[in-house]
Amino acid sequence: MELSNNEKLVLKALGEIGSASPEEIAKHTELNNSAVNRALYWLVRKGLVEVRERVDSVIALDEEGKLYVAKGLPERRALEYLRSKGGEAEISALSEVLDKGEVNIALGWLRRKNLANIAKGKLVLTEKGKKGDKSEDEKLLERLTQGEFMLSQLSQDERRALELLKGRQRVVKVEEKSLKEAKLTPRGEELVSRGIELEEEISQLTHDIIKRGAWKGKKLRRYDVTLPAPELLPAKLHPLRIIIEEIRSIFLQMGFKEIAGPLVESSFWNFDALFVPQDHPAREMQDTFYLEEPSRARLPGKETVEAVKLAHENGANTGSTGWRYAWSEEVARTALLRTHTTATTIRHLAATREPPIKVFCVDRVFRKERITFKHLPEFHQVEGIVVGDVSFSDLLGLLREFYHKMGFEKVRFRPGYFPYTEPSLEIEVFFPDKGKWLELGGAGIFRPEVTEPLGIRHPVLAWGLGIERLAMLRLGLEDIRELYMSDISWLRRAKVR
Amino acid sequence: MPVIKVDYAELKRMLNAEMSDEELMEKLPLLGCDIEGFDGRYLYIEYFPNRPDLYSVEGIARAYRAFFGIEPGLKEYKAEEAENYLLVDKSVAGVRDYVVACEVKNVKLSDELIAELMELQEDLHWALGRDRKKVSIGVHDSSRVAPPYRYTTVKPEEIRFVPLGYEQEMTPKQILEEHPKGVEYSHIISRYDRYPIIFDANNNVLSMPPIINGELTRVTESTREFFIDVTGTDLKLISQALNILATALAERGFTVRKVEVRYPDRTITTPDFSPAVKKLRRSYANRMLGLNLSNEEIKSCLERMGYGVRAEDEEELEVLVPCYRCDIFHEIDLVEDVAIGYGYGNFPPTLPEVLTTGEKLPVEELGEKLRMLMLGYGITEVMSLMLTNERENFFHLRRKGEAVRIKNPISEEHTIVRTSLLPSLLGVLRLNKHRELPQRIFELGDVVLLDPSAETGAARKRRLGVAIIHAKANFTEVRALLQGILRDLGIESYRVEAKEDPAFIPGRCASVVLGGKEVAILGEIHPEVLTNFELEYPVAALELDVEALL
Repeated sequence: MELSNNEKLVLKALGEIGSASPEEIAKHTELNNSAVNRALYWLVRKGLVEVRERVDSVIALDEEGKLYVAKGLPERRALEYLRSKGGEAEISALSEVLDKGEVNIALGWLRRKNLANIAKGKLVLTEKGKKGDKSEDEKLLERLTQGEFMLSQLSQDERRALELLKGRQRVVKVEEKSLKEAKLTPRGEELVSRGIELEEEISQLTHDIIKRGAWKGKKLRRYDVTLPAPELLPAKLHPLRIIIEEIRSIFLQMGFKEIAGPLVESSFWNFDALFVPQDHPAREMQDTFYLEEPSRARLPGKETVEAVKLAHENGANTGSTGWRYAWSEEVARTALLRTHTTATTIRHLAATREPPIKVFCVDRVFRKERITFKHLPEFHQVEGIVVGDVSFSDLLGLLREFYHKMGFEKVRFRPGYFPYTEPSLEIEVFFPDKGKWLELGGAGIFRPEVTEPLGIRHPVLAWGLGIERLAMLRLGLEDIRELYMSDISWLRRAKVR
Repeated sequence: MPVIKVDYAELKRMLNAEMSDEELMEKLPLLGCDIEGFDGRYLYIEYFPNRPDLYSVEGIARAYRAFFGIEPGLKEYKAEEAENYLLVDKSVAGVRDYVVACEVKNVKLSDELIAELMELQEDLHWALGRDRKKVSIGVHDSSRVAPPYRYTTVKPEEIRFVPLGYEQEMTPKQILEEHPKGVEYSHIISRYDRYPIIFDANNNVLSMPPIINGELTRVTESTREFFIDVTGTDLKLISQALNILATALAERGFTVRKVEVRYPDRTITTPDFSPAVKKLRRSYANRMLGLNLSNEEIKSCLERMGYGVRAEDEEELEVLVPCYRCDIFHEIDLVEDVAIGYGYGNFPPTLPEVLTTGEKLPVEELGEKLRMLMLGYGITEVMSLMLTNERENFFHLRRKGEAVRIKNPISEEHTIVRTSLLPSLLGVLRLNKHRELPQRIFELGDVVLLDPSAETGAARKRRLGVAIIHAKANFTEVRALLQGILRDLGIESYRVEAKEDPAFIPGRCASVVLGGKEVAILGEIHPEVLTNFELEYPVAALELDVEALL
């Protein structure tokens, strides 16, 4: 039978000291505890040692007990007081040496231990009380000041005393513990009796051993390679970042150019240029963060502003009726935190105009939302835009391709509504592990009232989705806040795919 | 968006479709809605804000009867000729200019129907009326009052009447100050010195638009006839609201009768159920949709959406838009309905032939490299919110400064946009103070700085921030890191200078100057700052301007 050096050491030790706990073996062999336990594990499997578990209790002083050790038990203090008063006193006088709550405790124990009686309203010491010897429970308390004891180490008297102490609140702690005890099996004894020959083994190869060739002729210890190693945690990218990077790479593969734009935006680009009327609910204070500083933004050139104004007021020459109200330049100038990345795409389109345009944007947006498990006041949006001789069929085809690349095999579309797209749609993807379809993004073709005033003559296909929702579904999170808590323990253990 | 509570059995009865429940549930969203839930009796459906005609079970049933081919095409409604009139006083001009009205006979109500009717009104107030500013509706039991009616204005304390839900008479002024609806909506009219009011022939008050009706004309289960007024600032909008409501009541089998509305300068008769006529070019529809539909096919798609179609012309179709549709601004809106009628699931997915090459933003590309380096240096990425407050962003760092400030913050925690990544990083360390040390974290993110020269008054800046916390975190560790990053990026011509910043320990803070510009700050965080962030171990940190490295 092949035995490691440590196993041999443990066998020898057990041969010498008989049955023993792993800690005792460790002391005897000068191996560390985990090495002893590993060796014991293998010796048991090889049938040379048996390990029995035994339940014992650890006895230790609790908070109140420590206090009593210092001050004395209440009945002891009462006893000493009575002795100092010649063996009797009024009960009420006990408050000189006892706290309010302790008087009754002291009275109870004095009588139970037969140390004093109450006679004619007075407390009178018994003969036993006059002697004032230490009782067994007091002796045990004193002994416990030396540290913990096992129940099995206590004498019969001490066990009785322990029962008394357990009758008081928080004086002693008694905790059950299972203890291991190892012992040679008959086969193990036979092997030990034949004599165990220790042979030098090499565990960790060292620079020196290799250089000197000292390993030659020695045994390289076999490891149990099936055992788990300590947890190793690398520095990681944030899980949300991993998804953002994945989406960026899909867009780049599909030939899209990356764009970015201001976070502090004018109402003009965030709303007006997108044909969102100035009294639209989304523009209200309860949905959008407006700014005190800076409160106003500059508007683009007069021509652009005028064209957008007319589109709102009467549709201008777009063939639309418009929203039919008096458009205000002042409202358009109001500064806000952009509520969607479309503010950035429309800026880009107004500046570029001519196809072919294929751009995307992955960036932060802000909404006036209270922080809950479902909502945050800021989050990330992805947006893709294609301008050219393109159609609604192309949009649906593009979406299929995009979502397939994102790993969603089943994609379906249903009508949706956005103020700046027509036709509009919502995208639903099938999550096999949830067994259901979930909405994951919206899309559409920009309305003529959006494109024509900005001089864009071709259809604009647009789609977008919120990344946090996708991230929560992917990461199995129930609470969106976790994404921004950056719990390092979670980050270090997060899956990268 | 309003969620419509629909009695499922009633919907099925009104639809009269031979369809299993599953099939129906599957097909409802194909017209454009989200089914929010079904409790066995009621369906909760969210329709879009552009389709207030779907805010009642009658409207929903009408749309799906067409959509499922049970009753396709334009639904025509008849209104009886007017018998009564509503006189409009010139004083309403500039206050609440317009009113339309109708009468409804043969009304039969239940408690539930009254509740549905009130919900429809409120949803219309929201969707079309911008919360009553542009449209408000009053439905009255007309048996309690006598025509003709009068829409006029009164001085705030000129009259007294009992408002809905009250027992005692109040002046309009008292209503605005004391009645809950008055308080809620007073902002719409309180700036005028006269308030809108509708009287009957005997000067009984029907309503005080857009605030409250009179108690006198309260609608109850025993109500058998309505007078309905819709007031507002836009004649077209209030007419659409009236059409939506009146056609829904007609669907119920009630009789709608017109009312003459006599303005000072003209008389109109409302409601007008005649359809608007719009043109749709076949080539335009096909080009936008990427299809090749014939006139007949387009016609059948539109009929499924409740339109009437005259398709004689080869190229141009004449489309009759139902009087309750208020979302048809442009030809493209008809195109969308062709698409919905065609079925989004039936489109052949094609791919656009727009040839382009992918291109990263330079700052993002540099970001990718920085992230790679950070991981190599054993630093974990964190992401945090950009919204913060002055205490966290400035005071906790012993700093002062100005930041982009929110006018309508949601809480005291989020009043400004961060101007530095350091508070975010220290905040993350605070959240992790019970986690194992060392902790080395970075964030590659934006700060926003006020900048009067910028178009929007502020500029976003990409920054790299690093914070390191452990028992021996010190200046040397971040200095070594910074040297490493700059070396790895091939940047050599920089200077490191001593710097004073209240967030750092004096004499243990430095700045990096590149091309005459300060591009980074690094050092050991001041113990007072650590305490402010509830940290009990030393922290070394750096913040680097990424764009300066491009």
